[in-house]
Order: sequence, then C-alpha cells, then structure tokens
Amino acid sequence: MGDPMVAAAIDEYLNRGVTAVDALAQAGAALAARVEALADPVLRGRAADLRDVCDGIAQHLEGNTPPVLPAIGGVVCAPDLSPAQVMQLAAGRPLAFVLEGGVETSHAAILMRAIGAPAVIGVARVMSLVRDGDMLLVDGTCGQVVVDPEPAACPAFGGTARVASVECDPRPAQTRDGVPVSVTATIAGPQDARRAMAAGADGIGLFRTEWLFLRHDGLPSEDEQVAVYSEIAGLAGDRPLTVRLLDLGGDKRPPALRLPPEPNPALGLRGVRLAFAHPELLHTQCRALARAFIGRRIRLLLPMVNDPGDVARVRELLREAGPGEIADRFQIGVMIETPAAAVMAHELAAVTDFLSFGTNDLTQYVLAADRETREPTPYQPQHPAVLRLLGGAAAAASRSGTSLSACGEVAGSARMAPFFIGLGVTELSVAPDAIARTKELVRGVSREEARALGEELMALWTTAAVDARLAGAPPAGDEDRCTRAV
Amino acid sequence: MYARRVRLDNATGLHLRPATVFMAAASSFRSAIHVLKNDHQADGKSALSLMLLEAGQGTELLIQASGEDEVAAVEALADLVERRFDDAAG
Repeated sequence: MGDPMVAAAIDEYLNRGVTAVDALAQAGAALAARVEALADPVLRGRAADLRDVCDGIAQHLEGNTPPVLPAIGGVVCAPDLSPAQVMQLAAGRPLAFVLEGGVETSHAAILMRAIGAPAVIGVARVMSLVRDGDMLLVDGTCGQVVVDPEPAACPAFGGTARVASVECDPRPAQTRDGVPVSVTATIAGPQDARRAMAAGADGIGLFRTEWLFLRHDGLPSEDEQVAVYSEIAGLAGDRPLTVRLLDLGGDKRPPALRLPPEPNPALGLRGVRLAFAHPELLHTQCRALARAFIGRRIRLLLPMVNDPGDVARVRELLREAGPGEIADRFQIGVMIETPAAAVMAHELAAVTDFLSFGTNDLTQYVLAADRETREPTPYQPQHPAVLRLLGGAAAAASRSGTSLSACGEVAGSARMAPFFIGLGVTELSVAPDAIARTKELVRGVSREEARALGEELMALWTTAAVDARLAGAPPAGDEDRCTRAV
Repeated sequence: MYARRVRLDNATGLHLRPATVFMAAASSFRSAIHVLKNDHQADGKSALSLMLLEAGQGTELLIQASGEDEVAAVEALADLVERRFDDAAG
C-alpha cells in the first residue's frame, strides 16, 4: 500500500470529501477496474488482490479485524471474528475456537457450530493469557478453556475435536393440555442436519443458507447449491423443511459480492433488500432449490421483510427465476424480525403461508441494542417491549389462521419457550443439541397457563420485573411492576 | 534528464513481482523516474503503475530520470532489467 499510485488515488477521493473508508473502497475499486481491463489474464488476477488489500484496510478502519489466514489444525484464539473470517479459517480445519469477545448468539458462533468446531466465547483476557504454540484444552460443552492442561486430563480428548453425542428423542411433543408443538432444528449445513436428525428433530425449521456464500473463493454455482440442498433434503426425508432465502449483508458479508462498506450495516443492505439489489442471487438460489427439492413443496422463509410489498416483489422475482411452475412450488413465509413486520403481522399473514418470529434480530431492533455485543447494550429478549410486540403480532396473525413458529436462541430456552407456546406458536426451531431438551420442556407446559403467564409478563414494566417473575416470584401488584426483586 | 533504452527479456515481463523489484530499486534514488512504452508512461516508483504498462517479454522500454542522481538511477535500473531482475522475481 506504499505504492504512490494507490496513495494518489486515495488522496483524490479524500479530497472529494468522502470518509477514509469510502475513499479506500472507491480507490481500490477504480484501480482494480483498470487492472481488470488488461489483456494479460495473470495481471488481471491482481485486481482481486488490490481489492482485498483495500477492503482489508477499510475493514480495519471500521474497527473490524483484517483478513486472517487459516491456521492448519490448531486452536484459533482471537479477540473476535466476523462470519466471513470464520469461513476463511474453516479452510484450515481448526480444532476449536476461543474468542475473547462476541456472544454465543452471534452469527460467527452459529457458523462455528455449523462447521462442527468446539468453541468457547467471551473468555476475558484470553489474548493476553495465551501465547502462540500453547497447548489448550477446549471444552465447548461446559465452556471451559484450560491452558497447558495436565497430561492426565488429555487422553479423554486426544488432541482432536470430538463432538459430544446428542441425546435423541424422536417422539412428537405435546403440551400437558394436549396441544402439539413440533420441535425442529435451526441448521446451517449438512453437518447440523445430520446432528438434528440424530437428535430426533421433527423437521428443519430454519435452514440458514448463507454460510454457503461466505466462502473466500467466489459465490456457489447453481450446481453446487443443488448438491448441498439435495443432501439436506435427503437428510430431512419426509419431515418438513423450511429454507431461509439467503440472508446476507449486515455482518455477513461474502467476500465475492464486494459489498460497499456501510456506516450502519445492521440497518442497511441485508436480507431481502440484498436480494432486490442482486436479483441474480435469488434467481440462482430458487432454481437450485426447485431442482434439489423434487416432489416436495419448498417452504421459503424471507428475512428482513417490512411489509406485504416486499413479499410481492419476491414473488415477482420467483416468476422471473424460471418456467412458471417453479414459482407455484414455493410456499412463502416471512420472518417477523423487524418492528415493522411485527406491526404489519396481520397484513403479512394475509399474503403468506406461515410466519416465524426471529427473536434475535427483533430484540436488537426493538431495543436499539446490538446483538453482537455484551454489556452495556441492553440486549434483552425478555424485555417487556419485545414481549408486547410479539404478543400483538401473534394475536394479529392468529386472526387469519396462519401458522406461527419461533426461532432464535430464546425459542429453546426453558424460560422463554413457554411464552411462545402461550402465544399460539406451534413450532419451535432450536439448535440441534437442544431438540431433546426442548421437547421435554414442551411436555411440561400447559398452554393455558403459559398464555396467562404471558399476559402477566407483557404487563410488566422492566426486564428486571420479567426476570423476577420467571424466576418464580409471585405475580406483581400494580405498585411493583417496575423494580421488584426476587 | 538522462535516459536509456532497454529490452525486457525476463519471462513474465513487468508482472507484479518484477515491477515490485523495480519499484524498490527506483525508490532508493532521489530523482523522479519514469518508464515509457511507446506513448505510455509509468511512474517508476509505483509497481501498480508499471504493471499497468502491460509490458510483456521482448518489450522495448525507455527508462528516464531527472534529478541529482539521474545518471546513477537510470544505469542501475537498466542493468536490473537486463539482469532479468536477478531472476529472483521471474
């Protein structure tokens, strides 16, 4: 980057008054375009390097860590990782991940689960405690990292990543008062799907397809997508399978798309908005799904929808994707994950086949609190404002009889799952490892009691009051809805 | 202003690595250094600029410098090209 030509180009953009990040991105793109115009294919290949370097520095300026090299077969310790970095590192088949920052609900953590690597997240000061070459024992099940472990403790682990076997419960679950609730799995790839089926999942409730797109070497072709989707469909067998339209953008930035840096990625080009900006992505994915899911209806869940207009636009793109019958094979569902979608739930229910509460993002948007960071952001899925919005949306949707599901980390939590059941949700989509536990949970719940408890929680004023009530405190009187302790 | 004509004989011409070697050598002189291919002119101290010349094997180049060490610069750089960048860079 010491190259004077690059420096001059960046200066030129800076002089036009744009930010450093934008200047880098624009200078990188402009120079790369010139290199790409060269006749020599080897020289043309340098365009990607130029872009990578400029993007890397821009990322760094934005506070993200620069691109990383895959560590071959080791334990990766890092302050924090973006989803794209996890996929880059995955190429080196890391044994485990240990992160200083981040939260277990982050997209990066979800991907680590998907590639089957044990991970411990939010380990304070790990970067100053661990040095290159240290021997580490990483236990993802109980969230423990041991530096220089006693050799006696090691044989059980044996220097390889071992995934604990999952508890299996294939029986359907219904509440104490006889309401069937299907417990399905949220997966990111075939490895998750195998685990989910081994655990006795009633289906795949949410297949996050975007991991396929986060590789470093370009976007997957239609044929590559068909191969993966067919494998998932084969694993699901005759159980229901819901696929989410690729949900890229935000912190999930595929290197090959070269998305321009955004000042506010969580509020920017992501979910269906990205599909509208790059319709070819949607076309290819939907054609691949139609080819892979022969003989079954394709349940397609749309991320980041605000209103029925977004749904209409997707239906139009589906019709463009291929011959007429492709569009007819899709059942369209919508993620209720923006406050707008929650408010418009009645109208969205009228134009779709199913709705799914995406609690991770909904919480982030309702409370204006980043889901990717811990304290001091008040990211609290059990906040009364979130509960009220969910309650209102569920009531509006139920008037048209549309089926409701819930996904996200709280859908399978012992404290929050009853709330969703009380709202009339008939499907909980949880991590593969949580299937058996969640089914057991469902069997202990009475929907009527859960509904009554939900009404109570929605009437509270603070998260602290919700926590206290969920921890077993008696119902709050009018005077102590705000700050009552356990 | 001092200049000398050379022929690129190394296998890849001014690809990124030879261009980087050239840039590093050119940057050690105070003079402004330019490399010309027909009408196209590149900044000798910019590998990217050199690469954009698209100078392949067999291309005739004119290396010119102006400044206090212009003669030494041109002679050293022309020698570098004729030594095929010491082959280290293809």
